[in-house]
Amino acid sequence: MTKEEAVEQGYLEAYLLGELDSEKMEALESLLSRDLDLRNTLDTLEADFEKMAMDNAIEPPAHIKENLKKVIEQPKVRLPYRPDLWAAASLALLFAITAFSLFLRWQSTQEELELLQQDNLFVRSELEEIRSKNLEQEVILERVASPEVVPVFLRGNQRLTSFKIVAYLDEASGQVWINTADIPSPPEGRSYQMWGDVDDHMVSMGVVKPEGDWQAMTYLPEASSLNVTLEPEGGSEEASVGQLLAQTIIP
Amino acid sequence: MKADTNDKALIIGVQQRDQKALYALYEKYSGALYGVIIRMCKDSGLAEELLQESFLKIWNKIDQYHPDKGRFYTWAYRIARNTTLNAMRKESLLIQSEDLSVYKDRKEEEEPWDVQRLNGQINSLEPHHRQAISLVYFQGFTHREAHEEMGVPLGTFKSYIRQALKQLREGYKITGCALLFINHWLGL
Repeated sequence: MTKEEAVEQGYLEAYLLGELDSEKMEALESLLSRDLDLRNTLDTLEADFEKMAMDNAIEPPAHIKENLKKVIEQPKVRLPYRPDLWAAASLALLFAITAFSLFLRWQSTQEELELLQQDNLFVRSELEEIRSKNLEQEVILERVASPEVVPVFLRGNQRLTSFKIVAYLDEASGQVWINTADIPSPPEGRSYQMWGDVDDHMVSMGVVKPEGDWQAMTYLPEASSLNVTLEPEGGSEEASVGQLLAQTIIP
Repeated sequence: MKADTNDKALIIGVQQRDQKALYALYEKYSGALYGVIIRMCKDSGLAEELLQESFLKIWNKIDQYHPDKGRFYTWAYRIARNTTLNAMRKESLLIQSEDLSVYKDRKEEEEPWDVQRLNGQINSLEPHHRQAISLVYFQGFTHREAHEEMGVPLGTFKSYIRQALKQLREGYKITGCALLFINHWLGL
């Protein structure tokens, strides 16, 4: 904004009346602070404006001043104590606290529920496995109870008298079933291995795993005896006859 | 310039919540402001309420007045003008929902005298200059509204205002000189 614009465009009068927008007002005030001549023009304008207003003053009724005094001199009124509002505010606060507490508990319950769901899935999977094993064992029990299956009792010699095992020879299915529930654990780094004596030659029927379950071993129809030896862990290709633990002639 | 010495002391007093200082400012400026308000709203009852409201605003907003930006009267005039224009806008909305003829009748009954009558140096102006000044300073018209009211282009209206103010300046100068001469002659 230039000085000429301020004068020609009537910005000084508009400023006086409070009609200028904030942008023009800032520009004019900046100009006024730099231009003493323009400042003096505005001062003169203001003085004339005030004189004109005084010339046209109209005395207001006296009661207006009295009313003004009453309003200004009245003591500040404090908000009255409102027990109903306080009660409402307290209830609102209580409600907010309760809601927050419930929200926290809900979150905690959600987490617990998720953990329970995970546990449930795990338990269900375990159950399925157990059912499956039970079914398998039922089949085996049913099988070994068959009159076609020949049970052979193996008892440990002086090396391991606590070793006891029953082998069920199932010619029809071509398998030998043993239950390892009652056998003691082998020494560390060693395994029990079952052998069949076929024509004076020890043939491996498999490593015995003392896990307490039914285990299928290889059936050798020509075997004349069943033998258990203590072998290096995982079993051997040749039987360590010096480590023979149990032996039974097949009837 | 700006606030004279007496005004400065009174304004500081009001800023320090001195009620007597406010009443002194009221004594000095209430007539000028009431003259403007009643000419704008043309309703003495409403003008009385608006004058009181304006002085309450002056009391409550005195910290917003900066003497280096202008005279106290100019600041107070702006408050009174805006307060009045706002009230007239509200009243205008009310009229729209009421029976307009009843409202007009009431105003004519209440104000039998000519609120537009102006006094002092302004009466020495040519009629179109006087009307231009009256519209803008005493009736709350903006420059744009006033040039439409007078039916002249905006540029022409602005030059009316400038010429009118120049003539008023000359008139006040002569009056001032005359007063000085009379005072000197009377030995005052």
